[in-house]
Amino acid sequence: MPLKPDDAFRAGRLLQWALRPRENPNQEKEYRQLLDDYLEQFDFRLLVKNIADGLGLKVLDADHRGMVLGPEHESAFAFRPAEFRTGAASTEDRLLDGLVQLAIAASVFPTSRDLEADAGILRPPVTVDEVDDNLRRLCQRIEAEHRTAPDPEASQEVAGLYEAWRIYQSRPTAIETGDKRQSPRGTRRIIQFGFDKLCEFGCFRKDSHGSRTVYQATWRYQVQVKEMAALQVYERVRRLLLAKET
Amino acid sequence: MLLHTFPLHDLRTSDSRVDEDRRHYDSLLLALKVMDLIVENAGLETEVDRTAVNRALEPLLAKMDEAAGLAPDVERHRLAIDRVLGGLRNDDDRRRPFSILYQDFDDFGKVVKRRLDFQLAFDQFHASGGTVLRLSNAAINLYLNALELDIEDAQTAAEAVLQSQLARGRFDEAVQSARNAKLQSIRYDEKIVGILRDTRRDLRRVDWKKEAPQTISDALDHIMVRLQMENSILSAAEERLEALADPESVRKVYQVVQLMRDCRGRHMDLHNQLMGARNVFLEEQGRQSFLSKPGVSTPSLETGVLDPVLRMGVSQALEVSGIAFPLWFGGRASGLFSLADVLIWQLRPRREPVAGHLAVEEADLTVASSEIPRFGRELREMAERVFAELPAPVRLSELLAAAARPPGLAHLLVLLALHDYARDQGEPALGRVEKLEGERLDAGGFHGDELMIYPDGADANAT
Repeated sequence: MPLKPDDAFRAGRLLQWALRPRENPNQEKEYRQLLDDYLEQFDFRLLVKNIADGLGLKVLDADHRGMVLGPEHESAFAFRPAEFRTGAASTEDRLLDGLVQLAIAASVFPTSRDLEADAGILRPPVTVDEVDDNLRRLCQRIEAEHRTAPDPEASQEVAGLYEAWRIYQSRPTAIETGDKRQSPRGTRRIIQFGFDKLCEFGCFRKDSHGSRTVYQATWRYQVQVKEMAALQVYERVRRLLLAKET
Repeated sequence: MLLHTFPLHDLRTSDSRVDEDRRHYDSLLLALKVMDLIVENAGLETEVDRTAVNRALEPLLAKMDEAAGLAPDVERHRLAIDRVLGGLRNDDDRRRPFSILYQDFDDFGKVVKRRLDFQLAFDQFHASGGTVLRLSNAAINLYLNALELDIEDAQTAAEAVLQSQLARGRFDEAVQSARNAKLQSIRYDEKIVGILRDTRRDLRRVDWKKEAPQTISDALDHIMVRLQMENSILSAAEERLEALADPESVRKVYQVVQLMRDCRGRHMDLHNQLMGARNVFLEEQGRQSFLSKPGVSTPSLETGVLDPVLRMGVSQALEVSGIAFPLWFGGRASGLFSLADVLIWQLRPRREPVAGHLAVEEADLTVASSEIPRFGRELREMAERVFAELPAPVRLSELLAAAARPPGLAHLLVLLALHDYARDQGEPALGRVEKLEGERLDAGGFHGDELMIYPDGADANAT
């Protein structure tokens, strides 16, 4: 079907809906109609994808549950680490936030087999403790491998060579403040903050399961990790490891 | 097929290992009920979610409690339902497919070990924004007690059976067969829609050299035959409808007609999709052939990403997390600065604080003696008379089953009986009410513990 004069406007409207992750096409007639056109009309689909490309966005998936967009490197629509916390964060805090996000994704999809499963099927919910336990277990394993090696030199810390696992391991799970509250510096609170931020972006849903608080990954998050994030992060890690070897 | 039953047997076997107060629940029966519920609601507007499962299993659990002499308990029921759903979804292995090792003979008669991976049930994201429970094909076959046939064959079989059942007047079975035929339609629909969706997403996921063209060609042939078959079933069913007089049979055949119309609608939609399928492939091939593709297989996030990053120096680990951060959160719209909006906001007239007292309008008050009663005075007097005129102790269910009473009286009698049972000290009593251990009330739409009502002055111990 040839493009109509207002198709560019409609493509823009569809992308605008997709950039609001909490909107549900089932409740928004215009969004649903635009998605139907996207799925049924090749020319319109191509137009939407081209505009998204120009904006630095990739259409990762689209069906009647909505449209998921992934930001390309340095896209104006990418959420930057600097925006994660208000105020200045130390290098150590930024590192911990980054490790926590990695660990959350790895707790939802630990193995490649889990990543290969259909993104439309719910992964089991995860908890703050589970993510913390996974990180500490890995840190302990690496520590055991390093038991016979000498302690790192003090200069390594300045040069940024001090290993990430040592930083995570040295941070307590919970730190109590003078007035008996939990400090945001403890790893459990850092993980909780990471989850809450993901909930704000429509990536997780906070739920209670008996007396436990669990976080359920949404379809959007599962598509993002499966279709874009996992592979791109893995590629970067692989390149860094290869560069280290050569 | 036999191997697919293993998780159900495991669930049943482990019944004896749960807490003692939950051992009386038959998880096999509950699991079959869940499967039945999902199949029954497949393709309908309201598919089965956790709330629907709770609603369906609660009465069964209460009956199992009753048989075991236990009072129903919401928390215990929740745990029992969690266990059944967990068993069907394989929660113990993070909801991965069940994996069963078995032995087989190869073409040369040599013993080989094989592994069968399959799922029974899973939670799926629904277009409504919620989640629904779905059965895998393996579980549907298991439930339908069908052989491992292709979807096409299974549907042909289901519809042929249905036609013969209609002809022989076996309407109950015909309704069940029509449901099965509808289920096969849904599965077939999902298969084709899945091929098209994967093609749009990434052409390499679908084998367009052999498999997909063959599937589409088969599907078109299949649908033509199915539509003819469905039309012939519909005419046969409509003919039977005209000839039938028994309302129950009419209802059942009408159900068959509805289900067949649904199948026909689905097949017509699918036919339209199939006609455009080849174009989807050609268009996507043209578009995707110029895109660069990463050449690596699916990574393991724990061992392939998280572990190496933890071993990296801080600066390298920060580099990775910097790249990864936007990817975890997805695309989001950042607001642009608007000078006009800021100016309008700044030029808004200041809202003057209200000084002094706010004038309060005098309310037009009336004297109310008490809350508006739910039951009228007349009805209340009638209920009190029923209690006062009781000739002998009587069970609440017997009282409710007695001759027709004005609307609302049964409700009031139950409320008064409960009030008497738990009345505060010193409060006047209409009679004396005691709970009958082990007996259940199930009358006039009321359910719960059975109560014995003693007329004023009668001795509870005398009966």
